Amino acid sequence: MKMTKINFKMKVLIFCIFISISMFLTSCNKDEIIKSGNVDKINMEKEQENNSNELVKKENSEPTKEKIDKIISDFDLLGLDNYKIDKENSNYLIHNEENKLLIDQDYNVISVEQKISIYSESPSKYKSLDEFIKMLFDKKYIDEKYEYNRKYPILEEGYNVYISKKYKSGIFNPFDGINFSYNTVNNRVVSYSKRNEYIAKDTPQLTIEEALLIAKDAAKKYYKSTDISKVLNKDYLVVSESQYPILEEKGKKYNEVYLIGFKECSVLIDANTKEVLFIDVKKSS
Amino acid sequence: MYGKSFYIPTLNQSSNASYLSGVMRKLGYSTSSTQVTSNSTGGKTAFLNFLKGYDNYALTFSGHGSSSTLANDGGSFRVTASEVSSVVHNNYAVWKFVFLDACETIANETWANAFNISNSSSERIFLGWYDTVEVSVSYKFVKELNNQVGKSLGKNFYEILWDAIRATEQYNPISFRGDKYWSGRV
Repeated sequence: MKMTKINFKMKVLIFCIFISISMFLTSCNKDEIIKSGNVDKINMEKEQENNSNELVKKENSEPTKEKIDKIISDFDLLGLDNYKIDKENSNYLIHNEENKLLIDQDYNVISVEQKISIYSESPSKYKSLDEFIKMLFDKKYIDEKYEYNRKYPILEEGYNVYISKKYKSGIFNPFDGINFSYNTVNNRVVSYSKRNEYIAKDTPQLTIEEALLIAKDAAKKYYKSTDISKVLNKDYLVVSESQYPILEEKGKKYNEVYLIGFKECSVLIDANTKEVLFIDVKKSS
Repeated sequence: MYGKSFYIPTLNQSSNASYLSGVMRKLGYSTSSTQVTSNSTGGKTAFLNFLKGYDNYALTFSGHGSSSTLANDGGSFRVTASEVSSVVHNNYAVWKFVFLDACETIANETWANAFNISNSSSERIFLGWYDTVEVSVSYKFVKELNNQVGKSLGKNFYEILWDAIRATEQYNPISFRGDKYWSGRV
């Protein structure tokens, strides 16, 4: 009987000790969880604070003279030595009376406008347009995903150059990339702009063969004198509707088109909807 | 000092003429427009009479063309470079601003010579297309030229041309003869 009582007391004691240890351990874990939670929270807050500090710092700090001067030198910009810096939204405009350079917070060049005499005699650091394009790629002013697209002559003394996104379908999108004008007489960049206005579909709904049939039909219907047996050129392009007198009224901004050229006219067909957008007549007599 | 925009009634050329009138007006000329449809009084006669000079110093034409002719769609209006040359030289007319907004009018020197304008001329400007040109291309160019002349007070005309070509973002087979250092303003 006595033994049974002792055993019972012992069991109660062991149970109490077990409960106490469990409670202690639970309380320790809880503290640790709370403690680590607090640390995480504090870390997050600190991180946020740091980020916002960095943001404030980035937004408030002007770009350094050293880096601006490097851009001025890379682009061989004349007359930007006594410049002012103004903030435009999140970008910086470096300018004087006649010249402008717009950069973002990471020193990416967004645009350049340079008023230079057509026959400026001061020597350029570039010998040719090709050398200037090479610099743009070498010094990472242009991302590798862009490729040389085309250049249009400006009178007999310069070019409008497009370095654009090229899709698998072979189409170049001049509204995604870089466009600049270059004076070949004095080898200077006159204007430069980064563009990200339109993302084209990779593959058009319409094939070039289908577009050709539509173009021939449209040309024959509207201009009976057009010789449709002779197709001079076929091209798949992204165009801005503002380029076309009739389309500019519609208000839609960009189109992926097939441009089929005949002797007397060119037919512009929407590469996705098959719509004949415009028939462009040549002004030859 | 007068300037006149001649144009054919088709292919939206009245719009081109309107923009070119704007260009001449901004350069300081008193301007008007005339539609040409035939070789009779309202067409070729009016064109050649205007060429005789008096107080006329600026002229533009928007329509069909080649390196030696200007014409309308069916050819009922047709003027040749030799006819123009004859009138200009016989009347000692001085042409300060000429833009023949038609295909191939500057493919060679024939038209510029007809108006007595060359790269050695002082305070004279001749503009033309050196290749075939589409309606939309010429439309966009003359619209932009009008816009650029309006906002570029301090520049010479050649620099304004640069700006207009650049802004159109298209292949402009346009060419220039005359004085590159002149503002074009009278």
